[in-house]
Amino acid sequence: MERALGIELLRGALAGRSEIPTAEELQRLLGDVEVQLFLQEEDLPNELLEAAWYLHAVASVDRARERYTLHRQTQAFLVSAHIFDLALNRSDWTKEQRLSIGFASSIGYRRADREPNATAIMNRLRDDISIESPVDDHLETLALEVGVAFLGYETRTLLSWLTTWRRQLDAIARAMRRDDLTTTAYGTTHMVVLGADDLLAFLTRGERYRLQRARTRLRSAAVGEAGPGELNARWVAAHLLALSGEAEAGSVWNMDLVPPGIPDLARQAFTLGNPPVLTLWSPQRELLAVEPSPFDRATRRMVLAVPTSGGKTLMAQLLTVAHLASGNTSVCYVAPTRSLGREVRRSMASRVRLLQKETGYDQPDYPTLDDFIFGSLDAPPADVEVMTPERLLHMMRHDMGSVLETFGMFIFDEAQLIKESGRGFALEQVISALHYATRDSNHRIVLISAAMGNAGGIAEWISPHTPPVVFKSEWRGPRRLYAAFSTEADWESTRAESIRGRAWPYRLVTSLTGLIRLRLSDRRTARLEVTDTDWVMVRKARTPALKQSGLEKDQGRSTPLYRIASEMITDLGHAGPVLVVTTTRDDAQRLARGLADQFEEDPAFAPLADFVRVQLGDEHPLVDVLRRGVGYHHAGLPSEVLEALEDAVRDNGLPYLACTSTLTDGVNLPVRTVVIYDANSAWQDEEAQLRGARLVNAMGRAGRAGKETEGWIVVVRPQPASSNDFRLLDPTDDDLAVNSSLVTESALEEFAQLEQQLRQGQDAIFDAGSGAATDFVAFVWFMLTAEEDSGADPEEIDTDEIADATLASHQSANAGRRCRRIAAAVQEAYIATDSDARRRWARTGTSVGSAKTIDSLARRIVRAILDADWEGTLGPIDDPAYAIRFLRNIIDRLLALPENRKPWRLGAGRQGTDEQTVKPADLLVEWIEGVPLTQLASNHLGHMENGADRIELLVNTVTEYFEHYLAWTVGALIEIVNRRLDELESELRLCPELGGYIRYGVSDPGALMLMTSGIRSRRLAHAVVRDTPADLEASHEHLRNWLAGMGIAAWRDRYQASASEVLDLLEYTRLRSRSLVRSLLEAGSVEVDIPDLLESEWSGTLSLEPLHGEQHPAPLMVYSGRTAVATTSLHDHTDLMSVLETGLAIDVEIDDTEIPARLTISLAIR
Amino acid sequence: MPTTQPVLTSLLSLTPGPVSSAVQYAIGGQALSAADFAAATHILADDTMRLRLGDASDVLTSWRDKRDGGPDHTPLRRRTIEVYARIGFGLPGKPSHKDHLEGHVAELLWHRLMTERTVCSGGRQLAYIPPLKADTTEPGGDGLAVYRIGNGTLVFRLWEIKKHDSSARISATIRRASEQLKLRGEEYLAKLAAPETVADDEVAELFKEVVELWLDGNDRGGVGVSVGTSAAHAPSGPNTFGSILTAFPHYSAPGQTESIVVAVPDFPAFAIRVREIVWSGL
Repeated sequence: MERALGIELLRGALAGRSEIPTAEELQRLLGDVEVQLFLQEEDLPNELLEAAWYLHAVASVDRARERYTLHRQTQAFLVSAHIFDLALNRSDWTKEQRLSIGFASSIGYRRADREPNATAIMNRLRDDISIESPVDDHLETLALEVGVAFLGYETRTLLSWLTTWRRQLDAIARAMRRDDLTTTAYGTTHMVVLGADDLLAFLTRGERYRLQRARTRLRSAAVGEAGPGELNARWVAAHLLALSGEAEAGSVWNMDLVPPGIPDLARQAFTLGNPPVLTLWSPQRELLAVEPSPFDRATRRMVLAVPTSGGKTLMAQLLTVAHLASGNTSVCYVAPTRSLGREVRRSMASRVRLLQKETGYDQPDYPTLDDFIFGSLDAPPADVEVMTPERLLHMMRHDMGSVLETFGMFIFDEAQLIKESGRGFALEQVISALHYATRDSNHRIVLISAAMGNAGGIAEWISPHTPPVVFKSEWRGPRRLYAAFSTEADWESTRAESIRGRAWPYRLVTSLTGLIRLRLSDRRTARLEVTDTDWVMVRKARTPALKQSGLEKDQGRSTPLYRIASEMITDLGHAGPVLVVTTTRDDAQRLARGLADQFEEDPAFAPLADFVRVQLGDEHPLVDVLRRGVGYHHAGLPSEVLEALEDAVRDNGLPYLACTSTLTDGVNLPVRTVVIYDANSAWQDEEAQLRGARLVNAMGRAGRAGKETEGWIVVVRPQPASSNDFRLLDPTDDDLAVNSSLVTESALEEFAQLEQQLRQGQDAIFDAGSGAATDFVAFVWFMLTAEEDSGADPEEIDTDEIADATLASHQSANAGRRCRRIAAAVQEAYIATDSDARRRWARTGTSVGSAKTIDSLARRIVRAILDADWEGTLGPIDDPAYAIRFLRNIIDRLLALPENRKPWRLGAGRQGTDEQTVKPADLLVEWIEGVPLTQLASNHLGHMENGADRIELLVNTVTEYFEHYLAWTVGALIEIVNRRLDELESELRLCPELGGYIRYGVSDPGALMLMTSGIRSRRLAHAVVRDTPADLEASHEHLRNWLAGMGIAAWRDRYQASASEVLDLLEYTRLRSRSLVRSLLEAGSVEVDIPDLLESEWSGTLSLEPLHGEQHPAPLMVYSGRTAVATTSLHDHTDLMSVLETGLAIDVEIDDTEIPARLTISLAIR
Repeated sequence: MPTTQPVLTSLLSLTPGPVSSAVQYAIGGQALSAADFAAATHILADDTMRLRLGDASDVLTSWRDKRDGGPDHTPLRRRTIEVYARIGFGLPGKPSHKDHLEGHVAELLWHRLMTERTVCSGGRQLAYIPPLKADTTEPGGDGLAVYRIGNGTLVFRLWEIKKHDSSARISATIRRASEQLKLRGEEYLAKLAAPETVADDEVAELFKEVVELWLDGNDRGGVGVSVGTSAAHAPSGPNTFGSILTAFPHYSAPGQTESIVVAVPDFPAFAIRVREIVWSGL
């Protein structure tokens, strides 16, 4: 639990100092202020501020004077930073006071190990930092502005701000015919600007002489040698001087932290990348200081348990970059959802491109025969591949050898998902299989999780021989404040109404008030009452007696919880985005409605609402709530809509979002406030409840590192308040233990059942149905195949070792025994099966029983194809639509396999009959031909009145059956068919890409290329393909060139491309394996072609900017003042943007002596 | 500490109060003649420009020349001088507010008088004056002076500097100053803690302790209140300063509580004149 301002910390900082509040008093005062903040009141008692300044004084004494211990000074910094942070909420400070308090808070956070909070402070004070105005208008506060800005560590803006200020002060010095302003009344400020600039240069580029010069300048400023007066400037200088030492120790340039073997370019990938990282946070530093070093190649197994906002992303990036920089194998990053995968790719890309390496794209989980490992044929393999566990498993099934040759490091994110029933074992399998296959090789495996109670045990699982590195940290940047909301009945207000009812002639109406309990950092609970409400509880009664108990509630007339909760939640929206996490989709929708009812429509939200309207239709309820600034998010909505909602929250464009755990488990979306809406806990099944790791994930979203210093977590429950409410938020290690999904009661029962069936006959292996036992059987079978493929004799393989490689065996002796026995039985069945067949079956990825079925279906199909061909009745089986129709009955059979847990019932309505009115094959054809979801829904589900229900049912169908299940099984089937046709030396092929077409909902090779190369929108893929000239070769290069030649305006015009679609296209048309930033850093300048020179003459300095007046993203143009002089190629767009985003000062020039004209960008000389 | 000739002190005829007074105070300026008025305002203006311009002597000379009737500056030179002249005074057309101007002049007076007073009662010798902390919410600010006493120990005085130009009695301003000093003393000392402890010298040794000494009421500490005002408000006697001792009862030894009041015939006019002189060099 948060102990940021625990009493020990306060006592330590204050050390019993008299004349200022005692530790207890301070804690009480702080608690009071926390309550005020919640209520949006601004007051701050003077004594608190006095105490803060005292503590700042204690913390500030130069360490060389040895007056206070380091520990005490750190505590003093932390407490004072917190108080100053709270003080910033007052709106009556002057600019100078605000900057002073901001600097005092920031420096406290930086030097006491709460680094991201300093960035959050800078962001709050941005308006006080002046760049536009002439420097003499704000010279008195400039040093403070520099201090606050610097401490934000936001490289790209900081580089340009410091350059601006430097130039302005240089101009004054030149006018006085001097080098600088030292000895004058602004000498100290000048040295602060120059010193900060030098320090930043060291932190970004590692130039040591700049660090030395920074120290010299800051020191002279601090001791008053640079000029008279200027108290604030001397104060800032002294602290930056002290910080320079600490920053150096935590920077990527510290060779003790990031070892010498890592090249400079890899370090710059962090300081100049996106987001920029100048110093590592303390958990990251701790990790890197672990022995043996995580960077050491000999460290082959690692388990990292670090909370969200604790920098785990950065740790993964550090490990990845280090691995890529020092070897020639690739990194495989496993993320559980597409959305998380995309996030990882995005953030990894900026780091990795600087090394001129690439991150791969989203690929189908179920590859086709020809190009299965690497996606498209003409794209070289990526250096970092981000994928789901299912895809990795599939790759391993097909060619374990290549997988192990290509990848030298495997990183598994969200490893706690092992415990989920269903998907959990897939993750466990992959890890077990990898561990088994690499137990004696150099491959490295890293498991990362925010919520793992038994990290040590997990680490032992994957490294019984070599010592594992286990790293646990609880550190977070932003603090968290906890509140619990409940209702209280005002019994005195009860009144009786008589109604015309026979059984219940009376109603008792009781008013309700709200109760918010805040848990303060001193462990006290503050109670806030919400009294002026119109909430009521209505109960049915036989008599009008006012005091009755045990009566039934009238649900229809009592104020529903969601409405009560909504009214309370809207009081929280002022501070930043609010995420309301519920357990069911219905709750999410209802809550969103309740919230929306309190607001008017606001035109600011129109674009988002319109986008959704186009996707889902006018009547979909999401559209109306969005117009009011409220959204809801769950798996019954198409991914384009979900992504748009997530992006809107990220950009602060959607204040309220209700969601299910689909979001909190699968998307990285930090917000200011998380509301846990636990409406049905009493009678809901355990899996669905928000508990344990799921709850930790949800709570972890509160407080965005770098944006705010505090996040709020509010629990809303329909029960009366109890002391348990807060305990719920404090899961124990036991709650968070990651246990194999195979050690549950039900799993062990399935195992027992299988064993019993096996006693009757070996075939039981093939009949196992679906469930834990079946999954395990498939795992063993796969392992046997892998071993056989690498030359082992199946009869000699030690199945005990295979069984022991699972987490289940490691955690339970009982499970271990059963696993061994079953593994042995599987081996028998394996040996008894024909050698080709048994290997074919392993590749499908289904249970062995289903693989057998698919295999025989495939044979039938092959026969049917050859027969029809002989008879001359065979149609174009390479055409996807024809192929689907050809397979229509087979598709029904595939849907009937036990893997498909929900029988196909489309057309039956939510609670309908079993009547099947829509044939899967028909819907599938429309799906791949690009028919929009809304139309599919109205075509086939018109009998359903509710438009939202139609869409939801259709989205569920498409997601579950098409995008996953059928894509996978049809793909597997077709692979077997085509292999067989190949063996029989036939030239016929049954649409090889069909699995991919089904997965992405397209029917053209060009469209499939687009969808597997970063284009996310099916609609866009279809639109582009419809538009391509018939004679355009179907290769990436040609498609890219053709698209790039068109221009952003054409994309918008011809395809109605939205902003995110344009970004995807820009990314697609980017030139591969080239990094302009890298070339700039190495060579000092880069050149690109200019497609169109718009002017033949220009004067003055040139600059590179997005086209003026165009919405984002806009093409980059070369400007001379306000005149556009030249265009840039779309191929170069993303790369040029990366250059601009580093913030490095550049000079832009055009050389038009040749054709095409050339654009030169060089690093500005200081 | 470079010594400064006690010119202003004698121009203002700064006179100490009676020895029996608990607060050691001095008042001056009531009988300022026109000539002395001119001289005093001249010193303040010249002094502050000199300090501001450091060793940019050519710029200082330029300013002086123009002040003394010389030709106009080039636009560049003028703009450069304006950067420094505007501190506390503003520029013609955008002058600083009357209150702030008077507060600033009160600070200049304090600074000059303190540096002239190299030896105080009891043989205290001036060792160091750190930068002032100007108050951004009301006119005036905080100041600090460090002294060496007979046995070589360094002691300090924390000052509150104000201007007084209202119909209320000056004792009210003095009381407010004392209370503010009590409330906000830590903030000033806190801002000095980092810069003043970097060097490895005696002053740094003092500053590493100073905030604890202050809160302890240690006898190495002390306070002062300085007010710039008009003669009509001049204090009548020791009682005017009583509030200082009330706020700091532990500073009871002689010389631990001090006050300087400059009460020229017309303080607002005095302040305006200082500004005029500064501007005359633009």
